[in-house]
Amino acid sequence: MHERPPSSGARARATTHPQWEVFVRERRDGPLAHAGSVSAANGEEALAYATELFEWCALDLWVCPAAALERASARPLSIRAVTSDERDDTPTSTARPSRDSSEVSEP
Amino acid sequence: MISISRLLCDLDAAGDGLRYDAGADSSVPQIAAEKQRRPVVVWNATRRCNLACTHCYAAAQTEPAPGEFTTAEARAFLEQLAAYDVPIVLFSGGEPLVRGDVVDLVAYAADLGLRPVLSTNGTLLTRERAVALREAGLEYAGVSVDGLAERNDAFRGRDGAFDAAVRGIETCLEVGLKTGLRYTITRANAPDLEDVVDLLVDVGVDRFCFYHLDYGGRGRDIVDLDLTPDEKRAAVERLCDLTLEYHDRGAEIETLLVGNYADAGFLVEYARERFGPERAARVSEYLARNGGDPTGERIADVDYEGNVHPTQFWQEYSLGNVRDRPFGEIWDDESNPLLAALRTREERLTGRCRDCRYRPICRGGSRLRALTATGDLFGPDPQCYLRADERRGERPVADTHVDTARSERVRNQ
Ligand code: SF4
Repeated sequence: MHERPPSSGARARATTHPQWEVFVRERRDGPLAHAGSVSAANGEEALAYATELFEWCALDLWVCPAAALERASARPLSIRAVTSDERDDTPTSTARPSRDSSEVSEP
Repeated sequence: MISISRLLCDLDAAGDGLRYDAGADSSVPQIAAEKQRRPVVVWNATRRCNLACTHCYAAAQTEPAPGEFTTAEARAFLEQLAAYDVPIVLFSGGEPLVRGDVVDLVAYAADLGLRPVLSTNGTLLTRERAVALREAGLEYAGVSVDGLAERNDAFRGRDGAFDAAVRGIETCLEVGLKTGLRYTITRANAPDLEDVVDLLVDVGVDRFCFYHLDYGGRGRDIVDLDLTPDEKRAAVERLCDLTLEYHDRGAEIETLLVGNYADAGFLVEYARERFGPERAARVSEYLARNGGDPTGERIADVDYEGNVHPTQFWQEYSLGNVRDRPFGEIWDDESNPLLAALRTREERLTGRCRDCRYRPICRGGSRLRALTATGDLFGPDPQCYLRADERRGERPVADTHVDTARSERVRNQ
């Protein structure tokens, strides 16, 4: 792997239900492999949902909080330098209502 | 997506190439063959919404959510889709028009050769916005209306939402932006269905897209609002009748069904009852090329945080995140047993789906609904409304066409 910037994935995943990464072993001599993620209120629910999804193929099933993983990738979602114009237009700000939010209040 | 009008009335439409491989014998320009193999990507550009609909699969919020793509990330994401040759990106939400950069992103998608389309509640479609979107290259705006004013506004959690949506539709039509209706059929709004179509035809709408309720997001909590299978059958039959009536009167409306591939079997049955076995065979052939429920194959969803889902309704499970790995790699990675199983689901289906004659054109309906209702990923879809005699094929229908066409398609992949 190359020199890699850390992915913003884990930090970005704070939702109403947290994400849980799912790991599945399908064969006794096989690896425990990442198989996506589930969103659930807690670990118990995450494991229960992952079990529904993978019980037909899994010998072992693990879940762990997505936010607990540090990630790095050789090809993350490339992020260009953000210009000041773009920053003004960035939709993630929680402090400033966007132009459209004011339109919302109109009937 | 199943086009009633195409199947029953031979209507030509630009999107049919994606649904039926109909490009070869169509007079409307179709999407290139290479792109046919890639999924249409629904992108929940934001989770924010100015409304609070009961059935929202994205569980949209009025407050901004952390983790939404910045403009720069959104552009990089669109580049990933273009690199994978995705044919269409559907800007959805939440309400995508609350993003201040949506026009720029639509323009960027169009520049990259992605065909941008929009799913909106219509309430923010000002004339200025509609013109900007059209000039940016937006090809279509689907506006959600879920009943006449009273029921729609109750469902959408805001008085005046119906009037605002209809104004949005009129605005699109005035500025020459192709638009159509999105209508999620539930017990609450099924009685309004014909009236809504009549009203919007008068306004000038000619494309009507009807969604069955799926059981993801907030929809999962309102399973009780879903029609019973019999009611669902009656609603689909009414839509078929309505389509034929309009076409008989010379109004060539396009009507489509989304989210329940038992509709495929029903349309074959309907065509046979109405027009005879030859027409039923043609309908069956078209639907075989359509390939049945598209979950995990011809439709993908990427949520506002970058999580990739097998369909837009399946928000509780993600295959991976485009912040970690490019979209195309996630979508191609069949080492994920769930993704691989979804793509070979026909062999795994249990219950009534296993012996169903319509399995090749339906593929077991919604796996998400089956999982939610039965806890079994390969169990029966509770919203299949076909009768046992129809499923078991006691009456003759052109099944041989279906099997031949499908196996040919699989061989050619
Ligand atoms: S029984 Fe299964 S495969 Fe057959 S139409 Fe119903 S949902 Fe589809």
